[in-house]
Amino acid sequence: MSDRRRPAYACLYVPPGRASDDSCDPAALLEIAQAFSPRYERHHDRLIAIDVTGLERLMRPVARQAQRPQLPVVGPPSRPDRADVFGSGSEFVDVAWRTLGQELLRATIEKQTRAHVAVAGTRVAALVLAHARPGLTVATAGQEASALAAIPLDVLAPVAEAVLRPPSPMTRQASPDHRTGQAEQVGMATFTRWALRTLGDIAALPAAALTARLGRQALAWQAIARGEDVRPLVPSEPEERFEGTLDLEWPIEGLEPLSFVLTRLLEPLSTQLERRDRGAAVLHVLLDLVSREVHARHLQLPSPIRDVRTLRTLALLDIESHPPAGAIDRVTVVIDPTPGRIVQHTLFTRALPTPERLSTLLARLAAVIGSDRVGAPAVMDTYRPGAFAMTPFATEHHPGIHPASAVSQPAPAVWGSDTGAARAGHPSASASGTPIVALRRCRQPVPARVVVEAGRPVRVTSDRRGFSGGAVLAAEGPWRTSGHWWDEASPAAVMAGPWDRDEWEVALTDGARYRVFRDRAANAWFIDGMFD
Amino acid sequence: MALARADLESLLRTRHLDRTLTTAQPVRAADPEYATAPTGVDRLDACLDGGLPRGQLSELIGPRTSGRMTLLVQLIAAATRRGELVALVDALDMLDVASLAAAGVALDRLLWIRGHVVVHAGPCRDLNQRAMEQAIRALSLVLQAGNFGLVVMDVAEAPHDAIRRLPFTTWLRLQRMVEGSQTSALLVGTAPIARSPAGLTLKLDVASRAGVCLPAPMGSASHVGQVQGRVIRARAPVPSDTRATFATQGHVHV
Repeated sequence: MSDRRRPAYACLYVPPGRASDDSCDPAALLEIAQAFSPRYERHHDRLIAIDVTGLERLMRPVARQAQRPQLPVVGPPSRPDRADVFGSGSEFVDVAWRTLGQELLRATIEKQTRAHVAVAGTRVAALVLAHARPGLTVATAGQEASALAAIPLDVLAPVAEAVLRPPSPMTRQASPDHRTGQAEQVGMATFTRWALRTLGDIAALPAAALTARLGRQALAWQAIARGEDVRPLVPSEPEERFEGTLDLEWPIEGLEPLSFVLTRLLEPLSTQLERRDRGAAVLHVLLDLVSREVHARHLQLPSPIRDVRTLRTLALLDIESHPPAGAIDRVTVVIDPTPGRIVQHTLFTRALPTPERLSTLLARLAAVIGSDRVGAPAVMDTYRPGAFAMTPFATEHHPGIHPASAVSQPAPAVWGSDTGAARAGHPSASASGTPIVALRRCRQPVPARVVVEAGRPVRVTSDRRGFSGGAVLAAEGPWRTSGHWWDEASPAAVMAGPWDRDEWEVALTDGARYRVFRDRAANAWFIDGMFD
Repeated sequence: MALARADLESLLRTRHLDRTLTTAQPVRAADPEYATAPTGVDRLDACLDGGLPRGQLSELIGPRTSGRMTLLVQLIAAATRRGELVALVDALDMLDVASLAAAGVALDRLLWIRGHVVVHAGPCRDLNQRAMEQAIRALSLVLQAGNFGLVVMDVAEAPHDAIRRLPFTTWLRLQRMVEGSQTSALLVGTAPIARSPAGLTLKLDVASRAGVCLPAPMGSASHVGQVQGRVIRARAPVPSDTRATFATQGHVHV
């Protein structure tokens, strides 16, 4: 009589074969597992462990049927065409487990997969037997150690990864062929030096001595060798799709009707996300047009969002910037989920805009001004005058004192003023506490007419209104700067190509102070900016 | 008579019409840390009793080379050092990033919105006007989003007619947006624009018409230049002719 509360596990494993006959359909394997039990652990595309505890009660009436034909075993021709059964005497084998195993094997044959099937009382034993033996293998409950004793050691490394660590979304994507950990490699090498050949040899070693020589990891290996579970089965959750589609009774045009449709689709998705503690990382909006085309927009969200209003606003702003070519027949919204953020507010610092609000603001600003003209400035690692970069403005900021400010260091200017100040010993603003005069830069230098006497400018004027100019009251310079001489000159590109200029700082009779420069290549004068 | 005036003020407050009262309301909160945004210039903060008022639209005006951009950069640096986010609507796209870095601004906390307004549009006046309206709209969006410590609109070099052609209610609307919040809004221009009754107007003067704004030979440090200004409008009890002067150092070449 078998114990009805005895755990039972089955394992489906498809070994990697030659590329030409490598037939492993991950979806088929998953389908087989789901057909037998909702509790399964999918380690990767080729390995699934199934909790079949209690299923033997369903299998026993089937097992009592007489003369049930045995299924042929799929495997090397040398294997017998019957299930391998391990135990101290076949009289102790649980017939129900054997029948269950045969049903699993039948299912794998029907799905045309070359899966190894194993059934045992522990998950570890089932995994090891599936890796080691082709076809169907059934171990007697309570005798897993003897079932594994004769199995060679080389099965230990690939099984250890699956046994010791629950599958992560990353490992689930790859086969374990190249995943033998470094620790397992060291352990295998040591066992080989000790002339150990089988799992039974490791199981027979004294635990204390093994741990003293190889560390705590060796205990886990010994548990595997004995067929003992070191952790429970972690059920894999079925992949959930966050998708909604709405077929419209008549085509719609314009943002306003689309807004209602998007709200209707996003509300249940938002609820679904909240239930799973997920946020939207990418929002896909697919608009089926009357012309049979699909207008697809993909929004990469800066932070996990599940607020319906924010998602709808971002989608509408994007579609407003990229309108569809015709009327819309069907609207589909797909969300790529990501774990939600854990946010802990503080009472002692000033509140900052939420990421959702900042995302919406940035989208609106991009629609008004242009996405290339909104962002955070950044200095560049170059000596080019006026060089800067626009970086995306972060939507998440830490409240409180800025970390860079707390250290009380000069601004990290790789280019320009601070670099020169550091070289020349000139104190920076933060070090001396005195502000440095700021420049108001002309993004496109303004052509100027400069009268030069004795090598110094004495009069600066310009045809451009707003720059009246005048006589030079005082001038300092020149400072020669040049660079990128190896690039080809391009009149259209201000921020690219070579430059070679002599810069002057002049104070004029109109009361203003300008930075002017002479382009030595073109022998032309320009106004670069004004000090303000 | 005094009793009647108090009754009148109380009635106005009840009807939420007390914005027109310039002296009846308490001019600052009990804790100046939350009522003002320090400018980062100690002498100026002392004159302004803490800094720019929060929840109000202030102005920084002055002629070219009076130090508007210098003071603005200091304001931004002080705000980012406090951990606040700053938004700058740079209508004419004249910001020098190197000046920001030299002042110690935390650049990742500055939202830079670069407009398309030009100093003089010539025949493209309508395009320039549209660009100015875009800049105003961007400023409105930022104020609506809220929770920025400092929001600045820099129209210092914009043509006068581009600003004059904006509806007069523009600035009133912006003032209403920022009221009651912890945001300090600032307009940088040549002449008074918004004339907000509750905000502060700081006028900068050109300190000296002579003198160079740089160290003479490259590499030598010398103390040059001064920025001086005065408060010409404030709800706070600041003497109307308060002058503040602070020194600046020259801009250094590489």
